Amino acid sequence: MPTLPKEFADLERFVTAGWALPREHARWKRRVTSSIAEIKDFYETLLPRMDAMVKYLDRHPLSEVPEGDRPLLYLALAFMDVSPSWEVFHAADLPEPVFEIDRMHIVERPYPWELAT
Amino acid sequence: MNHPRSAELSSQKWTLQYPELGTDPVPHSVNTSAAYFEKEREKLFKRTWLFLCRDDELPRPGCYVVKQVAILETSVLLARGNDGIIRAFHNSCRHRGNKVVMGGGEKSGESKGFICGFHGWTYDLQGKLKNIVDEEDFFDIDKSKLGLKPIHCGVWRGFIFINAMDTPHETLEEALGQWGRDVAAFPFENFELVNVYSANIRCNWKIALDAFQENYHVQTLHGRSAAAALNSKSNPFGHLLDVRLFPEGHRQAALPANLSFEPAPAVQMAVKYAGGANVYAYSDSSQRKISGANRTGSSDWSFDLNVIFPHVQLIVSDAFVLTQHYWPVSVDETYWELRQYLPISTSVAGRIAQQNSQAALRDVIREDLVTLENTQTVLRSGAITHMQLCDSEITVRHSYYKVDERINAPD
Ligand code: FES
Ligand SMILES: [Fe+2]
Repeated sequence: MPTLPKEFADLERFVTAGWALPREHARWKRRVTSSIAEIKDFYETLLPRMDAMVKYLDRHPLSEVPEGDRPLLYLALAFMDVSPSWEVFHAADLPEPVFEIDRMHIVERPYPWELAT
Repeated sequence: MNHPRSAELSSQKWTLQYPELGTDPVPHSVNTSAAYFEKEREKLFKRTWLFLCRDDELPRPGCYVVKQVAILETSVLLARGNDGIIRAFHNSCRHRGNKVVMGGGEKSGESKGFICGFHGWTYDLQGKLKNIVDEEDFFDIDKSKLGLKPIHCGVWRGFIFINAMDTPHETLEEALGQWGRDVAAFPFENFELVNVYSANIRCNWKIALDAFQENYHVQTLHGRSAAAALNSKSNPFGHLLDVRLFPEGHRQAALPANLSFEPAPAVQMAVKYAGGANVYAYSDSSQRKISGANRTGSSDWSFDLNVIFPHVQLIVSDAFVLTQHYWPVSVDETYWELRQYLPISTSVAGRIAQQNSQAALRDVIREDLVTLENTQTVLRSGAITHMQLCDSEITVRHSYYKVDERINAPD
């Protein structure tokens, strides 16, 4: 079953590949455990689509993003999380030696719709 | 003191303007000596106003936060009373000393008061002892004298400070001095907390602080990442635009920006979505006035790197605000906590732009973090007795100088 609006059906394969993650920490792990080929594919495919995605998502303020839009938002956030891999490091993660991300405890702010309950 | 700005005047050295600091190599033993660490505990941390956290962690009456502060050998309970006032207490029950809010690590929540989980004594948000279970079984007990033990607590611009002395030598305002009066003008209220990173790091707290209080390392350690946005053809080593060292121990350095840097596509996108500010994209700052920052009005300015004495880094710019605590745990262990604040955004586009800054920052931070344990482990050998410090590392020099001044002060 598709999770993205039909205008973005071409990006569905990235949802299937596990990029549409709500949590920053999970997206970060997804990034650093990817191959550079996978990063390149994700980055280069989304780059020309981002303006349209943002325009679509911007129909609502952040506090009112409908449930159906959220996977697309998570993909857009993942694009930003992945962008330094391609633009800065040309590698999924920083070069060795690295400070392992599992040693960093992260507290993320909730999305507005998570606060409502 | 009036210090001319000096990106152009590169022959002029900041360090020479503070002759008390000298120019000698600085001993490294203070980073491995357990005896020195205990002096830091007793003569510095236990006698100084310490920045603990921001008041946005306790937004409403009834909110409380617990911080385990190893260097003070206590657990600190902060609570916002029904009168809106934030108070600090030792998180220790007056019955037999159990933690009123039990457990390690950070705790927070909302409550009408506190019930000790050991024998059920209860306290209100103001720290008053309200109820003793089976009170008649005690001997001449006076509840009015058995409130939670207060810790001196003060708030400056939403920054909560504590002082563990019975009677602090100075008020918080005095301790912040001119630095506090100047930085108070910065519009902190325009920023929102976006995330918190923390880690236990096996290094001395000063080794951790040092890596984040100088920018000499930018050209190498951040050579792939931040260097291009900060260091320029005309300022390849990122010589500081302004330096101010304050007698109270605080310090401030203004870092340069590379205005001819062309940001990568995702960064440009973020700038467009956010309508400006980004960690990796700086524009001519003479075109915009930022209160409480960029004192010299330099055009090629990126951010001010402040250190709130003794152990907190505070970065302010129009793109982001960071606080980084380097809490001493033992001579070779530090609890590091970073809080990242970005310009408030209520739109989806703005939220996506923020994510770009978040991703950029954590990579740069991880580049810094990797050096800390690499430094500490080899220091233990004693092979390197001194550090050589250049003019760009004047903040590091000032840091050791000010800590040592406290350690050597008469009791
Ligand atoms: S120690 Fe708290 S009630 Fe006994
Ligand atoms: Fe750095």
